[in-house]
Amino acid sequence: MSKPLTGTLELDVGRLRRERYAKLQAQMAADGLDALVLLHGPHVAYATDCLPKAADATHVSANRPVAVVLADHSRPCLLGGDPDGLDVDPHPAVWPDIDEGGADLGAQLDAILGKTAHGGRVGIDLMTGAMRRTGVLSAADITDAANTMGAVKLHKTVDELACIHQAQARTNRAMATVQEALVPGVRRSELAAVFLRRLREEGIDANMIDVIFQPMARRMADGPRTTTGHLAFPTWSGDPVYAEGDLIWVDAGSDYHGYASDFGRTWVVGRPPTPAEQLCFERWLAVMDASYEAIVPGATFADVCAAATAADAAHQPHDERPWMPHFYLVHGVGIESAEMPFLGTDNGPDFDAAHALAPGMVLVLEPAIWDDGTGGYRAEEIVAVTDDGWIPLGGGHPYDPFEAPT
Amino acid sequence: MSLHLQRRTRAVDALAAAGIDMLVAGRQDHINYITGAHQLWTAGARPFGPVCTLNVATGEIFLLSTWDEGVPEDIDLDHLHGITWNGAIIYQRLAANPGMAAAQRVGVDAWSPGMAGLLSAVAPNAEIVPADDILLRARRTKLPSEVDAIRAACAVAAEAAEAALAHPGTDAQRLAVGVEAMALAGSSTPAAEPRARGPVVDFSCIRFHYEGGLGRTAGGAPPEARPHAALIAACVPGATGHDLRQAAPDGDWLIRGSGMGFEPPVINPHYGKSEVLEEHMVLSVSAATGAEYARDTVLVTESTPEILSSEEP
Repeated sequence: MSKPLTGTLELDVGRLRRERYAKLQAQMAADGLDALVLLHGPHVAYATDCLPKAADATHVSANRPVAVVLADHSRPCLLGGDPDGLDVDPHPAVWPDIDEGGADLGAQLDAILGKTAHGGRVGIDLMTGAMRRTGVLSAADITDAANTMGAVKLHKTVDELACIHQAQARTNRAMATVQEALVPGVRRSELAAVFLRRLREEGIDANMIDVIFQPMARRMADGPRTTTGHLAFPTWSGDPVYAEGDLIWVDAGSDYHGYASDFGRTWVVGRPPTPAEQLCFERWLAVMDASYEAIVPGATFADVCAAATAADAAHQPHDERPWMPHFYLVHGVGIESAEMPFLGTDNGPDFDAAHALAPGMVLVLEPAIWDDGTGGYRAEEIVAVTDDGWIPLGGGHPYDPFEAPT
Repeated sequence: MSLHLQRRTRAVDALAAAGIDMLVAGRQDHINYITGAHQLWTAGARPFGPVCTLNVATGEIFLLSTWDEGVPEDIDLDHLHGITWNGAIIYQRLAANPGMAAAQRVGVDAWSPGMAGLLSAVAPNAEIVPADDILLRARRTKLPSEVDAIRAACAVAAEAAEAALAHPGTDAQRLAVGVEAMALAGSSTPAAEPRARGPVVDFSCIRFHYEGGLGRTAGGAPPEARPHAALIAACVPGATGHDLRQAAPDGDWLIRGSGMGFEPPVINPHYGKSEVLEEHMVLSVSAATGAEYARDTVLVTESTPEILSSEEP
């Protein structure tokens, strides 16, 4: 059951940091960890609020900050990054990708961890080649940090919801301007230029994925070949010029204070949708309505998938489910653009039956309807599971040029 | 031979010389280098996972991609693995990979405890060893077509710098027009984070896998008097990190490889003293003295270094 969002979701940065750090400490205790050593940018941000750079992976990793969280310590250590204004113990920068930097990191970790470096239980999310070559943490009892980080980020605090809400609202506004620029003869690069400029004007300096305006072949057989025999989306598609009547699937993600948005819409270039295109949209709406209805705490992932599937069953002669088989009906979003929960993936029905929704989970619904020969409709919406239903995040965005029936 | 196959030959030769049987790569730059595939760019470094495998003896590649769009023809659809959310499927694919079970040395370009466990299970006879340094060593000197690609990327970044320098607005506004100009010129993907702070701008992009970039100060010195001019002049074959320190100005400076993004060597006041420059390396050379900052992308030649980032703006 939906509740409209009352008031605004205001980010309280201090509370965000405190609540996340407390969750991290509690999870470390539950997992029996003496320390966490984090190199993956979103994990570093979760522990310290040192935000990851929205740059190429090679640049982000070259001199990336490292977070160290010690059990029962009141604040984390941050190696490198910009500690100004953060509640962290600052340490000198290291360059974990080069051997000299790996050795520096090893020495700093030995000093910070003390006895824990020798036999202590240390969770770590990544080691670079340089760290392996220089023997970093070779005397510790190391384990993967993935479970610990996965547990803390699954249920969002109110401030995490506020960040996602802000990211989505700003992405929506930037996309409204982009859609005005979508006219026959425009190139993908021109739309990307408008989007990147408008994002920054919205106060977002972190675009997280090369924005997708993919012209969809109307028949699957005319599109790229796939491992699934189904749709190819979202692909790298160069710099196409759009013509009147082109069907464009849009996908974008930006980042506000370390949290991702996820924008998805279907656009038609230069003309209203045909009745067959409109029907795809209406099928999509029906799947969304059925999914929304099924979203309550305690519902299994399978319950939501079954509701969505039933809503489109009359249009599915081959019993296909109304989402792309390489993806999902629903994915989570947070410090990653796609994270747990995943509903309707190739993890299979047993997985979906064994997992249930809970308050604080954030769901990106992205069913996709395909009618081969016509094309299809795909869009995304973000909701947060509450104690008794869900609330929408991002403030909504029109489905133009499609219109919902009244 | 197409560029990506020339690059792959370099990588295979280097891996074979190091006794690596199988490469399991997760870093997009390494994957791009070996496969030539155009895959969606995402910001930030991903956790380590097996995105691409290369059998060093046979050259057989498996690539994580649900479609063949952007994938060169030498990698067939039956060698593409669709995206999966299921750890058991990742395990099955690796286990079914010809050559994995018998591999003695599996090279990886990053490492995590979870992935180490998985790889040990599918390659029980193998030592799991870091191979990032082997690949980066092979990538260190550039082929002529790579230099052309870097020069083209530099021209795109220069458009961004020019737009930002010409704009009278706030730093945020100048960044906005800079990234807009860069997208119009041919790249909607940054290499480093773009910078506009007071009179200083720095823009870089990834265009068709290759990085180009430059930094400028509005109203700054002419090229021969910029803070990094002496450093650029010192970028000759045989120059050591120590030599470059001698040529460096007082203040911040950095020399690092530039190709498919940020690459070694890293030479700065703290690191890289024993590095030695070679002909055909491409370097990002930057320095700041007082309020003036400048950066260029430079090709090490047998004689005078060639600046690949246009001198204007």
